[in-house]
Amino acid sequence: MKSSSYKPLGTLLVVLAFGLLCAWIFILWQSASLRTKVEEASAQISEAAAKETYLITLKKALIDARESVGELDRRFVPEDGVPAFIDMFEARLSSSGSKAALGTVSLDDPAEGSHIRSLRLRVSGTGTWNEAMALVSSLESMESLLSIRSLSLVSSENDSGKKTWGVSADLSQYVLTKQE
Amino acid sequence: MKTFLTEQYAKAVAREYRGRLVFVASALSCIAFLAAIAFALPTYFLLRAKADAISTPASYPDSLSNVESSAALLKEKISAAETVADEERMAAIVEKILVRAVDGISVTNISLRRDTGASAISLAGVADTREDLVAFQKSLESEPLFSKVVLPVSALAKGKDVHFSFSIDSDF
Repeated sequence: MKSSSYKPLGTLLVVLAFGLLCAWIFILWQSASLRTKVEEASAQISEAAAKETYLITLKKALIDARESVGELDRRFVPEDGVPAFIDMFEARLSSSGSKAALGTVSLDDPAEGSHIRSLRLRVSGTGTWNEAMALVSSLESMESLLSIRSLSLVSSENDSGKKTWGVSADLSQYVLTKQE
Repeated sequence: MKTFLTEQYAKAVAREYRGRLVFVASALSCIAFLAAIAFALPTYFLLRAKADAISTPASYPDSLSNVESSAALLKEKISAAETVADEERMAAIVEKILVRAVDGISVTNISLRRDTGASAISLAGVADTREDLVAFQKSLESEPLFSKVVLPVSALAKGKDVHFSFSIDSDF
């Protein structure tokens, strides 16, 4: 009978159709997955391109401002330049005219992620009012980033009845940590 | 409708019909799925090629890799420099206090403490008279730099040779 020739061919066609359906679904699924990947990568590339443009602009700005940056850098004390700064500071104290001396010196730990730390200095001295104020003005006019955190001026009379002023000041100077 | 076929032959014809129907449906399905695959494959290969092309991670040239950290450091330096530049000089503050010390006021002790948002001054001395002290207090209160000037009331008890101590809040 004729139907006997249809049966195996029909079965084969059903299996083939099912296989083709599976293949089509697989291709669609793979395409969807690839499309997502391509879209995500495209977004990342756009972001990276925008960032690169920003970095190029930033680099140009940094190059253009290198003189100002250099000027700013000179106001910070490099970490390995602390002893030299202390020498210079003591020289400034002795040139102020008052009997001033450097007391304690300490270096704060930098804040997390920061490249700047504070050098703490304590200064004390005595002199006339003018000498005391000259000392304070001298400290405040230093070219480095020195800040007086506290200042105390106390008057007293010496044995000869002359009025003198005791000065004590806590100062803070910004120090640049070493760059890796 | 009347049929002349035997029951057994009728079943065989029906089975044959269903077999042919399945055969034709399967053949048409195969053609449809093959066509669908043929249409889907170019898109698939195109996407695959794109995905392969952009899978390399983006990296910056060496000349740019340090720019961001340099800019962050510069920002930190500028912020620190601005903090110091914006500070009122202590010598100037002392001058502002003493310029207001009228005749009859003798300042013996000045302390200034600079803190973020809460700087303070303490001032001690001797006034010849209570009126001189009150005038000095009013003069200090008129200084825009000082937000609050406090003189303990007990300092006004004496009329002459008045020892005083001011607490001044400021933002320097």
